[in-house]
Amino acid sequence: MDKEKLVNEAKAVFSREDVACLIGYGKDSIGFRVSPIFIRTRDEADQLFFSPLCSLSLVNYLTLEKGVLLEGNKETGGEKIAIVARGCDSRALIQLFAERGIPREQVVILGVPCRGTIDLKKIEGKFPDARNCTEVTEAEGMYYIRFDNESHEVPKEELLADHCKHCAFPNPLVYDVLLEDLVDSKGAAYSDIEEMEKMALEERHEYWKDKFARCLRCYACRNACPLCYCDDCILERVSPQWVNRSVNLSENLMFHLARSYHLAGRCAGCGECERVCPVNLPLMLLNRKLEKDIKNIFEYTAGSNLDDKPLFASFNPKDPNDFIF
Amino acid sequence: MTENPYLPRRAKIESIKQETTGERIIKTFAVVIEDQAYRERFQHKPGQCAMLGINGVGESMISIASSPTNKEFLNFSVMKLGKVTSAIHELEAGDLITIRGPYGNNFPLDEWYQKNIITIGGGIGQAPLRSIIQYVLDKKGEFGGLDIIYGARTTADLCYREDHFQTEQSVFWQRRNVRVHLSIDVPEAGWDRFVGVVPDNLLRLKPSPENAIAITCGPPVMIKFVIKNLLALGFKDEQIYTTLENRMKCGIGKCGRCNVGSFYVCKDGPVFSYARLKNLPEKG
Amino acid sequence: MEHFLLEKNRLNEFLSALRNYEVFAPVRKVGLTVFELITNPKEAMLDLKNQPQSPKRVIFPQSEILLVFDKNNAAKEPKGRVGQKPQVVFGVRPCDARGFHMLDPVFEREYPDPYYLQKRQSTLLVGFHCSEPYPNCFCTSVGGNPSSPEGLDILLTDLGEQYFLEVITSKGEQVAKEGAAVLSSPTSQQQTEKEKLSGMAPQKIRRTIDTEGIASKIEKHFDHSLWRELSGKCISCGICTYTCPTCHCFDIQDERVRGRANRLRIWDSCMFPEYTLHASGHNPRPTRTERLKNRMYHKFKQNIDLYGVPGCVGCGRCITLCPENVDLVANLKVIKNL
Repeated sequence: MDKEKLVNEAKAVFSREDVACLIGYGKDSIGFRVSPIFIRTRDEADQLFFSPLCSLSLVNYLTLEKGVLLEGNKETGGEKIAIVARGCDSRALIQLFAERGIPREQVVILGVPCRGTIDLKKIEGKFPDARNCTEVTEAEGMYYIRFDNESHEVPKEELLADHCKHCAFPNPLVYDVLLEDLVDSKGAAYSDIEEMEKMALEERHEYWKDKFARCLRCYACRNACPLCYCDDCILERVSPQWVNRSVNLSENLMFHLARSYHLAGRCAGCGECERVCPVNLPLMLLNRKLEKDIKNIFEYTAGSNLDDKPLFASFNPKDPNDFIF
Repeated sequence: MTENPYLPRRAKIESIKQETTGERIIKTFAVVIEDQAYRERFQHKPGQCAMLGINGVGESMISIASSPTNKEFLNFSVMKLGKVTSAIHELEAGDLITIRGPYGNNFPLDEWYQKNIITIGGGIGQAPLRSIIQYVLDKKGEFGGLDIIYGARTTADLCYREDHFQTEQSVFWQRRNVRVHLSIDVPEAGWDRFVGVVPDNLLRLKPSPENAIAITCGPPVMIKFVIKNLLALGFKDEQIYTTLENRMKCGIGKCGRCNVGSFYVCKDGPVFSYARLKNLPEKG
Repeated sequence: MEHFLLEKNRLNEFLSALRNYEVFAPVRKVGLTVFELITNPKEAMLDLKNQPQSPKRVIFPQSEILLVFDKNNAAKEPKGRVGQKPQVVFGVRPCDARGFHMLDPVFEREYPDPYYLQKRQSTLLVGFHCSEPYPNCFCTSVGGNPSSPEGLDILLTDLGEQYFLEVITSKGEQVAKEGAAVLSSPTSQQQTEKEKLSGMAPQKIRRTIDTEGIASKIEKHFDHSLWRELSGKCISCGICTYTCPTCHCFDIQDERVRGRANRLRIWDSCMFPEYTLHASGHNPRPTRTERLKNRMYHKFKQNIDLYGVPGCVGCGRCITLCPENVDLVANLKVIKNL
C-alpha cells in the first residue's frame, strides 16, 4: 500500500475527527516484524505503514482490559478511536458493535482491502537471518521481498497465512475511509474443512489429540481474539470450575472445545488465535468448521452485516430444531 | 532428602466461634495439631501465619490470632471470601483441618522491652494484632502501657467483642495501664463509644510517641491514613509497624506471586516496619 | 576435565549405551521441536533449530502432582517420586543450562523443594555449543556465552563430522564412562578447532544490551509513565513466561478427577490478572502495565537482590514468540536511557 496515502488519510482523520487514539501498524526494527502502534497525535501518524506483513489484527485492543481504551475516552468526553481494519477486522468490528453496544460512530475505520497476509512463521522460517526487511510488495501471485540489501521473489502461496487462503471477505464491510480500491472476493470456500469431515471419527480424534497434547495453555489464542472479551471467562472460573488448571490432553481438549464453541456464530475469521499460538495449533479449523455448520443451519455469517443481531441473541421462527438433541 | 515443605499435617478443630454477623462472616477456629512431634515443633511468634487447608479443596494463608503463650491451641480467624475459606466455614468442631507453618517473620517483641505498645486495628486486621495483645497481657511485666485501638464498620463486624469489652472494663487491667478504645464507622443505637473511622479515633486519642511502638493492621486504605496520622503525631518511621497481605500459594517464597518489590510477603513479611515499607516500590 | 571425540555417525550408539538413563532429547512433533523422552536414539533431532520451549519442563514440569489424597482425605506423596531412574537431557543449549542454574536457588534455599531437587540431582545435562545463534539471542549481555559449559555436565561442540566432547562434572564423567566404547581421543588439531569455534561464537550474537545499572533505573523510575507505553501492545498471555527457562511461578490447585483428588502445582504466569487477584477482589497489579513492569523488575532487580544475577539467560524466546512483538531488549534499552 502507498504509505503516503495511509499517512495522509490518518492525518486527515486527526484533523477532521475528535480522535484520541489511532490503532495502526508500525514497522518493527527486527526482521519481518510488524507491531501494533497507538498513534495519539497527528504528527505521529508518519509511523504508520501497511504491507502483506500486517498479519495481526488490531481489533482486540478495543476490548482489552474491559475496553479501557474506549472507556477511558468516554470519561474524557466523547472522543473516538480510529483503527486500521482489513476485511476480517471489519467483521470483528461489526460483531462488536452488535454484541457490546459500542456506538458505530465512536470508531473511525480506515478500511484496507486485503489481498491476504504473510504468515510470519513461514517467512521467518524461510529467511531466518533477515535483519531488517525494508519492503514487501505483491504482484501477480508473487511476493517481492527486500531485506538487508537482498531481493527475493517468493510465490504468494508459499508464504500466505493459511486462514487467508479461504478468505471470503477481503474487503472491509464497514469503513469511514477506504485506503485502496476494493479487491475481488471469492465466495466462502471450505475445502480444508471438507477434507477434515471426510476423516473417520477415530482418525479425527487422533489428529486433534496430537495437537491438543502440545497446548501450553498460555491463553494467547483467547487474549488475541477480538471477540474473547468476557470479564468472567469460563476457562478461568474457579467455582464452578469447568476446566481444571492442570495441563494435559483431557483438560486441554475441554479448553479448546469451550473456546471454539463460545465463538460459534461470532468468529470473524481473522486467524489471530492461530497466528499467536506458540505451538502451532490449527485452531482456525475448529472455528471454520463451526462457521460452515452455522452457515448451513442458520444461513448466518458472523459480522457480515451491520444490521444483523448476534446469532444466539436472536430468535427466528424458521430456525431448525433438529440440531437440538 | 529433607522433609517435604508442602506436606500439611492434620489438626483438630476444638471449637469455633462466630465473630461477626455483618456483611463478611468471620469465624475463629481453635485448632490442635494431631501429631505431637509437629505440634511441639510448631513454635510461632506473634505476627506469623500458617497455611490452613482442606485436602481436596485447597489451602489459604491465615495469620495466627493467638499468642505463643497459649500452649493449648492455635487460633485462626477466617473471613469467608474464596473457595477455601468458604469450605473452612462449613467445618464443625471435631472436624479435621490441615496446617503447615508457621511462616513469615514476626513482630520484633524482643526489641520492645518496656515499650508502650499501641495496636491500631480495623476489621479482620485485628487477628494478627490479637497475638501481640495476648502476648503483652500474658507478659505484662516486660512491656509498658498497652493501648488497643480497634474499629469496624458496625458492631456486627467487630471481632473478639467480649474479649475487648472485658479488658476495657477490667479494673485489674486499667491499673496495669491497659486501655481499649473501640469504634464503629456509622452510629448505632446503644453505642456510647467513638463513632468514626479508625484513623480519626487515633487522632482523637493522640497517643504519645514517647517510648512507644505503634502496630497497625487492617484494610489498605485504613493503614495508609493511620500511618499518615501517626507521623503527624510525631511517631518515627522505625516506631511504626504493619503487616501486608498478598495472594499466596506456596507460603515458602517459591511460587512468586506475593512479592512486593524484592520481598516475598509470605517469607520476608508479613511484618514490615514503616522504615522498610516506605522504600518498597509497590505497596501491595 | 577430560576431552573426547564422538563420531557423529556413532551418536546413536552413544545414546543407546546410556541404558541406565531415561533420555530426553529434542524431537520433531507436529512441526515443532520439543524435549521429550525418547525410546529410540533416532528420534533425537540435533539440528537444534526451532525450540520454542526450553528443557525446563523436564525438571520442573508444567503440571506436577505434589500430593495425592486417599479415600480418608489423608495427604501422601505420590509414588515414584523417590528412586526414579536418572535422566539425561541431550541437546541442551548453554543458555538453557544456565536457566537451571537460575532456578536452583529458588528451589534449594530455605525450604528445599524435594520435587525439583530430586529430579535436578538425578538429571544430567548434555549441552551443545551454539554455533549459530538465533536473531534474538542476547546471552552475552546477561553473563552467558554460546559456548559456556556453565550448568552443563557434558558439552558437545560440532566439528563437522565429529563432536568434541568435554566432560564438565563428575556426573558427566559417569556418562562418558558408560559410552566409552564409542569415544576416542581428539587430536591437538581438533582441540584447536574447538577453541577457535568457542572464540568465534560470542561474535555471532547480534543483539546486545549493557545491563549495567538497569536494576537501579527500574527501581528509580518505578512510577514512570513510560511503563504504560511499553505495555501497550501486551495482550497478557503467558507465552513469555511459559517459554522462559528461568520463570518459576506456579499455582497450587486441588483437582478432583474421577473421584480422586490430587494437589498439583501448575505453572502460572505473572502476566495473568488472576495471578495476584486477592479473594476480596482487590488486585495489586490490575493492568498490563503493572504486570509487565513486575516481570522486568523480577528479572532485572529482584533476582539480583535475591541471588546476585539477573533472572534472564538471554535466550530471546520471549521476544521471538511474543505475538505482539513486546521486545525485552528494546524495553530494557528504553529504561536504561531514562
